[in-house]
Amino acid sequence: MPTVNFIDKFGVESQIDCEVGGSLMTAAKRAGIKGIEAECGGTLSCATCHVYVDDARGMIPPASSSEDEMLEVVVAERKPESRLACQIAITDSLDGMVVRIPESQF
Amino acid sequence: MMNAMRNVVIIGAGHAGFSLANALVESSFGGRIVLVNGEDHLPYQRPPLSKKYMSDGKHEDLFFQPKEFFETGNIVLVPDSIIAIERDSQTVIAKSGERISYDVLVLATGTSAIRISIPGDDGDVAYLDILNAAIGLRRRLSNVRRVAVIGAGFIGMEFAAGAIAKSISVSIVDNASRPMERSVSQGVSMHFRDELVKAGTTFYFQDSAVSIRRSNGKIESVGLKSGAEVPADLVLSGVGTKPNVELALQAGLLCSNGVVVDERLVTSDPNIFAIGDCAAFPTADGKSHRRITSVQNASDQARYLARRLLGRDKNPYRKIPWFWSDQGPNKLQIAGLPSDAHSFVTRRSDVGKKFSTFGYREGRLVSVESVNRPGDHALARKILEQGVSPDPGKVGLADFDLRSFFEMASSCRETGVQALNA
Repeated sequence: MPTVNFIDKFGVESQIDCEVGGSLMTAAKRAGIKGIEAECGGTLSCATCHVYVDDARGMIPPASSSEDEMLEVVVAERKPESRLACQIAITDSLDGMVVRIPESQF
Repeated sequence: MMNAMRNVVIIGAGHAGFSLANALVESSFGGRIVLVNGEDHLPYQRPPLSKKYMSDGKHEDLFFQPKEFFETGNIVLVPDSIIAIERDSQTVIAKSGERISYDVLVLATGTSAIRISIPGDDGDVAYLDILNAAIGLRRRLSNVRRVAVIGAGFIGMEFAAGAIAKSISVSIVDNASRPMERSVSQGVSMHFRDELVKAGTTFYFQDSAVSIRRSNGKIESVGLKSGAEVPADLVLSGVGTKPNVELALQAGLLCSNGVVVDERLVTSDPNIFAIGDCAAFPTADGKSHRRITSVQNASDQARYLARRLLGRDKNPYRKIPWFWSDQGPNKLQIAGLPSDAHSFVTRRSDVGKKFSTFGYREGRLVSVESVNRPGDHALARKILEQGVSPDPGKVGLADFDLRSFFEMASSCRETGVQALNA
């Protein structure tokens, strides 16, 4: 089970063991990580599960064109490391990944 | 009133009720929050019931937050239903007899599926509005080859697309002449109709179900007004929803197609608010009231109300509605309300599988429906929020660039240049 480090907007870190197979969004929500809304339930419709993946180093595939387009409406600053957590599948290669949660989702 | 607000009682734990509790906790509200759930589950999301849940059956993915979230947030979850509101004593009464007092009461009671009455229905016509119904329906689907869907609205269309993916043959019956008639433009309707027809669905438009025929007790077919007979092992009804206003009515609150609220979401009692699918709020021109049943509306009204209760928002509630529907491989995203538009212009790319339809009223953009074009949808939300409007004569042209339009329109707004019909 890969461990992902979430850092919330106050800088508080949580290390979460994520079940392989789901998405980073569902893993975060199940673990009670705050600041990821995912209002559409992970269907690439709302852009409220915005996260910053600092140094993905090939851990995750790049954003699809649809994800890239939806990142357009994120409320916090869009950065090169911006991703939608619902589009990141949990695999063993995510172990040690650092995910920062933005200031706001709406 | 706001200073005396120690006890907030929220009836209903769907997107509206949950989002309000969540927003209050996140804003460090120090009082007590009672969230009346009414169902034997943790608060959960309803939109996936007809979409993702039907395909994967993972009901644990539907919960907004785990149990600990409510405990640490000081949110009292009441797994009971409320049977009465006593406005004089500011108390609600649960079915169990428990009396819960409030300083502020919020009705987030949502909607229920309209029940149909057809001769031959032995109580086994399926509905898809709450988790228990979805669990039961999903279980039944494993023994079903043919489904008749009554109602070609969002629920019926989404369910049909999911059933087809399970190799179930689907027939859809509707009084209207095209799917999702009240909510989307003609071209969008036709696209989704054609997609389901290609996948093998039979539509019966301008027709209605008049009987259910059985053999040895089991559903065999649905008889239609036109005389057609639709073979089916299971009947799903998705003919629409009605707002849950019984409590409000019984408490003497003003209701008219929903619980009537003002532009600050206050009902006819200043200590009672209504948000989400059940709330009828004033239109921007103030001439009428409307109810919007969507996640966006529920969540935005919830967050607005949290800010307002905490004294952080004095403005009226105003948001551009947006909406989505997933039907098999096709994604529909809507910004604004197509039902407000009088004329439509469509931009196409590829071979018709991706397009956006721009709705205009008196020359101004009021809605954008995007089919498999999330980029257009994202820009449309920003464009409508800014109140700028691309020229309807140009928006459909192949060389029109929506992004350049938006960037130019917003920079003109910022610099105060009078805009602008790009």
